[in-house]
Amino acid sequence: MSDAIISIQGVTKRFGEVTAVERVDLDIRAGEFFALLGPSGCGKTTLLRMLAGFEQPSEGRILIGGQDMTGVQPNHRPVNMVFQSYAVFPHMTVFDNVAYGLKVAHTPRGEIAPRVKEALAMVQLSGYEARKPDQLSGGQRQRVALARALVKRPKVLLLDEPLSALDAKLREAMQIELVRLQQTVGITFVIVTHDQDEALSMADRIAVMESGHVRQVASPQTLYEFPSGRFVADFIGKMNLFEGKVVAREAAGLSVEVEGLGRLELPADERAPAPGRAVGIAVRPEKVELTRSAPPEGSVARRGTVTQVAYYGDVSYVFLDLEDGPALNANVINDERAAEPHFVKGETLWAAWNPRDFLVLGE
Amino acid sequence: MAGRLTSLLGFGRDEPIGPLDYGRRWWMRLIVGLTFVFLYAPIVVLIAYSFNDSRRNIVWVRFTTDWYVKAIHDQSLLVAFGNSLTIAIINTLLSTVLGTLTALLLWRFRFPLRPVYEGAIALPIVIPEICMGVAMMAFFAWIGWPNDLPWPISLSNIVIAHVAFSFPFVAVIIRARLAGFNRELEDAAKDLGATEWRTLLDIIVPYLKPALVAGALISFTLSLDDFVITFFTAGPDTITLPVKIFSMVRFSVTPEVNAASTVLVVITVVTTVLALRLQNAGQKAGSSG
Ligand SMILES: Nc1ncnc2c1ncn2[C@@H]1O[C@H](COP(=O)(O)OP(=O)(O)O)[C@@H](O)[C@H]1O
Ligand SMILES: [Mg+2]
Repeated sequence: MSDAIISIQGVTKRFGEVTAVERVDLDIRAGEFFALLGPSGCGKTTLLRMLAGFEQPSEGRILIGGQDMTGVQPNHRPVNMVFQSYAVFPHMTVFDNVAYGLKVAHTPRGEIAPRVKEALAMVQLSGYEARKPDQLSGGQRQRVALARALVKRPKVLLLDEPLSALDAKLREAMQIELVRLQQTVGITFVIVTHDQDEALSMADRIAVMESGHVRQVASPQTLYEFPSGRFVADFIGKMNLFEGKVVAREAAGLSVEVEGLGRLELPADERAPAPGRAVGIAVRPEKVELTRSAPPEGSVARRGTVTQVAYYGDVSYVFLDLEDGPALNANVINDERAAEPHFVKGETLWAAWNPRDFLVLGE
Repeated sequence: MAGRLTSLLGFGRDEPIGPLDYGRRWWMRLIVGLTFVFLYAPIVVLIAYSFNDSRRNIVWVRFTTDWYVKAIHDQSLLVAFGNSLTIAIINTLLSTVLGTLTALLLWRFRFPLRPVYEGAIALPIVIPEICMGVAMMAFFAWIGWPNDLPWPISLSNIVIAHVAFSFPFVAVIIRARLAGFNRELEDAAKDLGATEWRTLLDIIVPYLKPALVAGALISFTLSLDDFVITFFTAGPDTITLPVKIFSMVRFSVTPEVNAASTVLVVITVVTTVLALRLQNAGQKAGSSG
């Protein structure tokens, strides 16, 4: 709590009938790269706009740097935003765009030029001062928007889907650059994205949102390996999900009956539902091991037929139909040069798991 | 037959005419040509005879600029022209400001009956001018507007009438431009520390500039060549150029009238072309950002 630069406390936002954000509690720490991740329409932008001051919470309050922001207008908040459309002022040069926030704040004239220069250098746009926005590419316009916000030296930089308008190559380069930039300036970044790869690769911590609620706040690895529920498990990464029923829940282990997989003996899990209750059993594709020969004693293994192989270069996705019905997706890393695919459509394989890699998900 | 006609007219080309190549079909070209003739022939004749060295607009004698010299020395014509320009300039200032504020209000705020206001704004554009004129006359008679005010106050009732019918044009032009405004630009300015007022001056007004110029030029030309509404609102002693031309024509169409009209045509055409060009330029520049 003490090192939280942003503290969102019981915030709800309604637009007439629509509840865009519902009872959100969230602390963002000083200096961290924080991501708000969720599908389109889940309320990410609304939450970000409440931080910037463009929307006022219907309920709850927001503290920034320990100060209650209720009723504080956007131009008086210690945060700056990079907009989804970049919102670079079309009638101003790059220099004037970046200098604008300093001018309206009555920064001494002698201080403006060096600070603009420094900000432009930070985003690698030195030499572009005299250009007009229509002479810049999309990526360059975004850098102007970044420089324009950073030059104000905000406590927090807010970014709304900053990479969604860029093409794939540029997006990847920009992901790395944004992280580098954040580490250089040491400012807290809060980024909104619907792209899980973006969030996973860039953020220190991620809040996963679904229809106005925050479902889980955790590090990328925790989100991926220990999702708190079905939504997060399904939304982040790829997942094989099976339906089952708890048979026994004891200190020694958890016993579940899974449709198509039969009885599974899993490690103890005190958060699992009570015996007799329905449960979801999930496993990531890369945790499935495919072999032609029967797997060793002790591992959980089932036989299945390959229905499709999707080749992605570094990995191949193998789709199987298990003997007892359910479909299964497994990843094979192509870590050796080979002219022929590892597995082919139609062949029968063993799919094996370590019981520890199964996720137990409540309803 | 048709083929021979087209090649005679120089339209014939070797490639076959595509289904959408209407511009290459002889009958299309004929219609377009005739339209231009009917639209512009009278104006061309008017301008031509203003340079004709003859009292009567019947036969061409020789080129002269005498009628322009004569028009410049006609005191009452000059007074009328001065009145017209004064009215047009004041009208332009007032209706540009009023029209812009109206458009901003309709764009920016939500209030009860807003669609009704949006529709009502367009009314002066569609109401027949003669009705506007009669209504204005009745209005000024009803409030007992004095007729014996000193110049230029004496022009104020005409200015009021002109503002009433030209500011909606400005409002419509500005409103259309605002529809394409990226609201995030406004948010960005506030986010960087600007107040509402600075955001308006620094971001919205520059964005509106082409529409502001176009609106101003259009209200200028509307006012400058307005006859009907001015005729009904003008007091007995205030005369504008179109009203003066009308009164001169009642006696006879002299080349002097042609000269005065040509001046009016040139001013109107130049301003309109400028307005259109600025609006097009604005549409191109406004799409970025
Ligand atoms: N100004 C607004 N007026 C009405 N509804 C809105 C407004 N802004 C957002 N919403 C609604 O709130 C929900 C969340 O929107 P948003 O925060 O933009 O989602 P996201 O950024 O996650 O895609 C959506 O259902 C959207 O339609
Ligand atoms: Mg959004």
